[in-house]
Amino acid sequence: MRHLMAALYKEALLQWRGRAQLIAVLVFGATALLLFSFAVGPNSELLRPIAPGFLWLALLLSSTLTLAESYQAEMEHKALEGQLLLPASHGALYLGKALANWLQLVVLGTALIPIMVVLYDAALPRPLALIGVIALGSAGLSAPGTLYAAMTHQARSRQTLLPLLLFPLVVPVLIAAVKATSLLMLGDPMGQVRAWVVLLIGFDAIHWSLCGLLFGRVVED
Amino acid sequence: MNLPVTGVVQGGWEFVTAAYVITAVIMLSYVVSVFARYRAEKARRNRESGRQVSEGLR
Amino acid sequence: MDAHQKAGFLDEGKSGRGFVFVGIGVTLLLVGSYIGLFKAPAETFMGEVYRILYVHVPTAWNTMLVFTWAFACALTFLIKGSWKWDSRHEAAVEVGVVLAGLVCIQGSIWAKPTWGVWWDWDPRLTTTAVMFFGFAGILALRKFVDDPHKRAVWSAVATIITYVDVPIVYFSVRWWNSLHQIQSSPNTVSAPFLIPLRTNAFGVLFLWIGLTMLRSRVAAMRLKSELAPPLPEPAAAPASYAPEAAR
Repeated sequence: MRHLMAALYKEALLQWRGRAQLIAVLVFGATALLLFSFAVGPNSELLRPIAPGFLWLALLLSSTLTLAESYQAEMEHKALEGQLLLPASHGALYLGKALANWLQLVVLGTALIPIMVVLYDAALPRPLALIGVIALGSAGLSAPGTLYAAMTHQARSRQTLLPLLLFPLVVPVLIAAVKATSLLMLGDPMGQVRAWVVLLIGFDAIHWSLCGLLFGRVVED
Repeated sequence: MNLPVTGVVQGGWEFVTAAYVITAVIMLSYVVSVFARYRAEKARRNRESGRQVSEGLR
Repeated sequence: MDAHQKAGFLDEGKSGRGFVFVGIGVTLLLVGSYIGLFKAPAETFMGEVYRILYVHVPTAWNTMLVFTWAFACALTFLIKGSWKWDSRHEAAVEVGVVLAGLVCIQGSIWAKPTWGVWWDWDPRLTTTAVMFFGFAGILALRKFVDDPHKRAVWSAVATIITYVDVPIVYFSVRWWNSLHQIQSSPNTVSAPFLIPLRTNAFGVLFLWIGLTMLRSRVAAMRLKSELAPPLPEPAAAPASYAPEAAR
């Protein structure tokens, strides 16, 4: 537990120091939202129902940047070898990184909400529930993303490889998160949000444990 | 519509043909590619072990 | 890892078996397809178009089998650490990707005359498409990692995660799509339709087993030369040591 807190503290510190990067990714996400609107046309009637989809697409694309970035120290300074020499377990290392990435994505997603509201004239009847869905969806992106980024930051063609591996895997997250967001924003007469939230929770539970277990194999030599 | 409405999908042989032909082409191409790579690897291996024998290492 | 002693496992003898299996598979497919195309009667509602199912369904069944085998190989490799399972894993993923791509193409050709659109987000077909992209990504991963040990471990981990994800993908697509339309699936099949279906199913089965056998050997041979690289060309070798060693 101590190791986990130490790992988490280290990641948070690194992210705080590199917060300019987070701002840059936020701007990227906002630009993506803007470009999506150009793809559809200046028609609020068309844009409003697909706003949830665009929000999650923007977050997904941004996640490839933040996930890769989270291994910057490991890539430039070979920090991974140093961390592995410490008495901390691989699980603690993984959790520290995955939690830090998750936090970053939640901040990113929440920051994109007002931009979505403005660009797509979206309504926000249940903002807290929406942030909850963003948290669950981000967890689904962060768990496998942290694992795959650990692999790809050492491989060739790393910028292409991470999204290539991650995107098919997180299809359920995209589907469930978009549906849940859409129902929260546009109305949920039949109470379906719960089912999608359960799916997200299930996905998160499975992948946080599975990826946590396998992380050790990925980083060992 | 000048065709009798029978409730059965009419024609469609071009789709059937397309499906079977594409299946055959893809499967055959892949089989050939595996065979070719197998032969190539075997040849390379024989070349190398042949060289190792002539180097006196085997 | 004293692996190069073990890497020579797959290329001794028994290579003929792979070719034989492929031959059996192709023959069965030719026979099954002939019966399916020309001997089986037309179907009640779908006329002649249903004949596509005689290749589509067997390929789909076997795709799932191949990826399950790939998962087993990946797991076995991680547990045992033996290189032969890495070679088998590579072969299984590659063959699986080919079959999955084929299923998507066949499914699309089937969809147009039956449902009027090229793609209909049918849960099974969509899951197969996701599997295609997921495992194709793993092939890319293998291509872009040079260290054989890391390549083997990482792709095995990726296969396990991707395979575990498959049922989740299926259920999420099914719920998602069920809100939009009623599913029609060719379920109950009567006797005259079963023979070509089963024949082709066994045909694809033998075909992929034979192909993975051969493809595993290719992977093993490449791996062997990677782990114990061959000597450089003898052109520049000094004359001093070669003749002595040949004694």
